[in-house]
Amino acid sequence: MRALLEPLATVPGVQIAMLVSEDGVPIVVRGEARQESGGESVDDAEVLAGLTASWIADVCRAIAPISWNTPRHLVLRASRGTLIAMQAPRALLVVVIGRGVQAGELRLPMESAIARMEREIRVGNQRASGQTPAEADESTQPTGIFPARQAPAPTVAARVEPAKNRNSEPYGPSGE
Amino acid sequence: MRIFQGWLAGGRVRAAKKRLAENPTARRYAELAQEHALLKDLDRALKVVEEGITAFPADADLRRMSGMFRQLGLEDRTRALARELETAPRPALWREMCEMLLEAGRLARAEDAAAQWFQTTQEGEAQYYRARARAERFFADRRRDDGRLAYELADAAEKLMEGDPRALDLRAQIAARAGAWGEARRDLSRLLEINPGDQALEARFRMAVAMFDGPKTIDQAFREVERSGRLADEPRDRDPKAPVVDSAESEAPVVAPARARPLLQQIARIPGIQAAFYLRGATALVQGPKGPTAERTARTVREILTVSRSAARRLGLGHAAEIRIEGDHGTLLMLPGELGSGALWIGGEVTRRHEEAVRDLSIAASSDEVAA
Repeated sequence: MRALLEPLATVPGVQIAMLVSEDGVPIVVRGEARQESGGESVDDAEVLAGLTASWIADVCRAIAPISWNTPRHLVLRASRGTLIAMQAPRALLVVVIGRGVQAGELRLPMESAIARMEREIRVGNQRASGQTPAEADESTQPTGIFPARQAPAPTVAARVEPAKNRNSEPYGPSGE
Repeated sequence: MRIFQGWLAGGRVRAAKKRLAENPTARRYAELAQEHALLKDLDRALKVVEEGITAFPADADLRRMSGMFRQLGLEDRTRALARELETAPRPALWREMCEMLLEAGRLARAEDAAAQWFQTTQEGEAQYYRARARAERFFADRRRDDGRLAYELADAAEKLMEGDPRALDLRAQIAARAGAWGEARRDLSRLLEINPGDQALEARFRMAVAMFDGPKTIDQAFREVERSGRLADEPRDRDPKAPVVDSAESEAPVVAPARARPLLQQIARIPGIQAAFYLRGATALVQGPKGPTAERTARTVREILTVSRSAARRLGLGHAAEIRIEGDHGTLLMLPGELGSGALWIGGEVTRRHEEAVRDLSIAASSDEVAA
């Protein structure tokens, strides 16, 4: 999990990147825990995680009467920094960036981190269900440029290669 | 090798200047500034960007570059000051460091620097800068603990700085903005004794006298600011708990800037916009949804604005400037202002046109012009 957040934490302007459980407990924290101008309120990653989860819960409560689903991506830009939160599998990916950095610049790295996380979880689940790592890896890899076309399973007949002198080609009543 | 690189870079600067002279656009200004920055000539890069901003005031990239170059210049000076302070610390350097950090809004670092200064010299001025940094945090985040500490530090500084009215002025300012008008009046009268005839001070004193509405301790004032999220000198909503929702088509009179309705109607015609909201005090104008749906949606937007403002303060991020919520519903884009807020519910992708529209709405909501 730490490795998943590493690319995010190294993006210029990112002060802290963390994975937070839905109830506001930090799971993984990368980057500086201390924010430039935030003082003790965000010195502690636990406080940041708790406050972020609480804000998102408040937003969800506010949108419930108009029947909107839980938001996927939330941005809170303020005078001294920006908080970005994105829904990850059973968690929240939270990033705090400083002034002068656009929230849009973090969208792709955050989506990539979540995609990697989802893949890790899929592989983990498949390993747990008894598949070999190779099979699990295969099933999580992209199927190619035409995903709808399934490659036929190799058969014994398909493996017979025609000899150059045509001796091995079928002959007789049906092969003449 | 360095000479060769310098010669090459000089050529690129000349070419960028030529392109800019032929066709001055915001992008060409940005390119020239970038070339100067690559040569580590930040002063000239900043000058080019500022010239570009004068010619193209709406260009976001140039503004961003200006902020970035300023930040880099500040970093350089801060590093130089820190080095000098290590070898030969003296009050002038500490003062410059604190002033610069405060001006840049780097409040935690400013307070740290002032604390270090105080630790080494025990000077009252150091305590004053600590108080200023903490007071700025209180004004931005409205937290009671910040206010209390800033007030205590200003008090301590005032005792140490005999004959210097700055700490007393700061204490009066904290008390007035928190709404402890009795305390503010006492400090301002002492300031007037030191500087008799100062018109600005007299105006502040008259205001403190006019606003005094009974005894209130400084701690009660801080608690009230934390609870309401508003400083005493800020405009207040009429009754935020009872929003009056008005569909823009209805004829009911509402207190709103005169251009809010036509602006809402105009914005709602932009492709992709599902609803446009104008929120000011207890008034909400909605263009798009009608009837109870309009009311429910406006309430939701108002509630999100309230919780987000409070969250930004509690997170130590300062004033909320933009809130963006994306999901299956599309995007809800909100711009809170001092007096009112604008919001847009956008069905598809958010474009620059949408961002400009919500900015216009927010400006209209924060303007003082009111319909008859």
